[in-house]
Amino acid sequence: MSAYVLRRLTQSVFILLGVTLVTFVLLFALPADPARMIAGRSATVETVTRIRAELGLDQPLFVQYGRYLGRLAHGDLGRSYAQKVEVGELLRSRLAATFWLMLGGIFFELLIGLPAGMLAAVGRRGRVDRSVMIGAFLGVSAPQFVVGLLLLYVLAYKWPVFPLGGYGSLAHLILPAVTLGIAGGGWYARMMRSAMLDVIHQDYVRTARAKGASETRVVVKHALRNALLPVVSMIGLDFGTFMGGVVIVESVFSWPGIGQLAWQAIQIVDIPVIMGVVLVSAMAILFGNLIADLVYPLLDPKIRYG
Amino acid sequence: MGEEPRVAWGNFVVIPVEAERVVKSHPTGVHPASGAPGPVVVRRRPPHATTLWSRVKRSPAALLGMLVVATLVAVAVFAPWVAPYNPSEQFFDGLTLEGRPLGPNARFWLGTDLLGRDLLSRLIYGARVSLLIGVAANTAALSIGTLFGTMAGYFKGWTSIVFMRLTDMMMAFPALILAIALAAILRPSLWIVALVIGMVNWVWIARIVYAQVLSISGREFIDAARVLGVPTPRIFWRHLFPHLLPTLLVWGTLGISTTVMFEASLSFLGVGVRPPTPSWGGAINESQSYFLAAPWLVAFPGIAILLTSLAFNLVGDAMRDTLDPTLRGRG
Repeated sequence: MSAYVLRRLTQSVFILLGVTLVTFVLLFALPADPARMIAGRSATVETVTRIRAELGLDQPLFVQYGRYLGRLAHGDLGRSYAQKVEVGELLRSRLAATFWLMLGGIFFELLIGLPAGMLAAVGRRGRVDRSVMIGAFLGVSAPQFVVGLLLLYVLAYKWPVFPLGGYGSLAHLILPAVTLGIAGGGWYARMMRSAMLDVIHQDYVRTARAKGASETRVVVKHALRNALLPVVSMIGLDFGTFMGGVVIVESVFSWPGIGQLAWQAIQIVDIPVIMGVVLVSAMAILFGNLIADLVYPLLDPKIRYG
Repeated sequence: MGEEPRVAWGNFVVIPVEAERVVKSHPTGVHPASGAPGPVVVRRRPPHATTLWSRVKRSPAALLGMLVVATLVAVAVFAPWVAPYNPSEQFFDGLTLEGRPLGPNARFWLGTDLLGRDLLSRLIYGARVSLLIGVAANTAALSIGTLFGTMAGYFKGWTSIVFMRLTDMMMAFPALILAIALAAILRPSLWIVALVIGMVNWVWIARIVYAQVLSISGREFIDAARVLGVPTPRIFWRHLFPHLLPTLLVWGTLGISTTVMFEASLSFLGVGVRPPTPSWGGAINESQSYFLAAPWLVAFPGIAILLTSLAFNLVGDAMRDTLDPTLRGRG
C-alpha cells in the first residue's frame, strides 16, 4: 500500500512537471506580450524593451523555462507582474477562502444529494423517485452562474436574508456553497440512487429482511454503509476540483479565492500568477484523485494495489 | 439488475430480454437455456442501433429531450425567419425614457436588453452559436479522445505509455482555467472557442475509449485479424471502431450538454465569442451589472442554456441506460 502511494506520488511529480511545461509554452507562445501589458499603452519602445530584459522575457523560451524550474525547485513561484508581490504570498492569502468554499460546497452537495438519492432508491419507480431524478437532471444541467445570480436576486436582494456576495462570515458562505451544492447534489443523488439499488438486491440485504429487520433498519444499517463507498471516492474528486478554484462561482459572488485570482491574472496576462494557480490546482486535483483511488480497494476487495 | 429473469407462463417460457424480435417459434421442444419443456419462442438480438432506438423511444424523458433538441436545431437553422426582429437592431422604443431595458411586453415578448435590442431575437440567434460550438467542440473532444484512447489501449510498449501519460497529465489540468486563459489570450473566433473547449474536454472520452479498446483488443477476432495479416488501419476501422460506436454515440450526445455549458461559462466571463455576435452566456455577461433591476435578462438566457443542456442530457442518458444499465457515476 505505502509502495503504491509512493509510486503515485513520484508519478505526480512528473505529471506536475509536464503541466508546468505545457502551461509555460502555451502562455509564452500565444500572441500576448506581458512586457507591453506591464508598460501600459503609452509606453515607449525603450521602456517595453527594458521591462522585457528585466523580466528575462528576451531570453529563448527554454532558458526561461529552465530558470523557472530552478526557482521552483527552491519553492519560489516568482513575482506577480501586476502587483509586486510574491506569487506564493498571493496564493497563500487566497487558500483559506477557497478551502471554506470547498467545505461548504461538499457539505451542501451531500446534504442535497444523499437523502435525495436514498429516497429515490427506496421508492424506486414511484412518484418520489421520478421527482428526485427530474430534480437531479435539472441540477446538473443548470449553469452555475445562472443559479448563483438567481439565488442572489431572490435571497439577497428581494428578501435580503444573505449578503450580496463578499467574504467574511458564515452568512457569506451559504449562497456560493449552495450554488455548488445544487449542481453537485444532482450527481450525488444519481450516484447514491444507483449505488443503493445495487446493494439492495444483494443477498445479505435479503437475509436481513428475511430475519425480520424493519425497512428503516435494512436501509440505514445494512444497505447504506456499502452504498456510501462510491460517494466517498467522489468526494475525493470534488476536493481536487474545488480546491483548484471554482472560477465561475467565485466570480459571481466576488469570493476572494484561487479561482478569482486566476481570473484576475488571466485578464492582465500576469503569467507568474497564472502558472502558480495552475500548479496549485493541478496539485489539488492529483491529490483528490489519489484519495479517490485509495478508496477503491475498500469498495471492492478484488482491487488491490501492490 | 435482472429484476424479472424468467417468467413461466402456461406452457411458454417467456424470456423478457428487452427489444428482441421473434425469429421463429418451435411448436414443441425444450428451451436451450432453461431446459423447460413445451413450446418455446426463440428470439434473436437485433443490431445495436435498433435496440437503442426502440429503447430510447419508449422513454418519455428521452422523447421530450429529442423534441427539445429538434426544436432548438430548427430555431437555430431558421433563425432569420423565426426571430421577430433583427438581433442587432437597437430600438428607440426598446428603452424607457430613463434608458432602462423593458420587461416582457406585447411588442418585445421577452423584453429588451441594456441597448434596447429584442431579447427574444438575440436568444434565437444565440442558439446558433451555442449549438454550433457545442457540436463542434464535442466533435473535437471525441476525435482527440478516441485517438488517445485507441492509441493507449491498442498498442503496447512506449506508444501506449506516451499516450497514457499525456492523458494523465491532461487530467490534472484545471480545465476551465486553462480554457479561459487560452480564450482570453487568443481573443477567439467561434471555431477557436470550439477548439479550445474540445482541447480541454477530451480526457474523459479518452479514458472511456481506452478501457473499451483494452478489453476489445484482447479478444480473439482481433488476434485472428492480426494473424491473417490485416493491416492495422483496417483493423481499427473494420474490427475495432464498430464496437466503439455505441459508446461514442452516447458520449457524443452527453458531451454536447457539457460543451454548451462550457461555452456559456466562457461567454459569461466575457472570453467566449466576441460581441456583438449574440450568445446566451454573453447576454448574461452584458447584463450582469444590471440584473438586480432586470432579472429577466439573466433568467431567460439561463433558461435557454438549461433547456439545451437538459435535453442533451436526457437523450444521452436514455441511450446510455440502453447500452449499459450498470454504468454509473459522473457521466
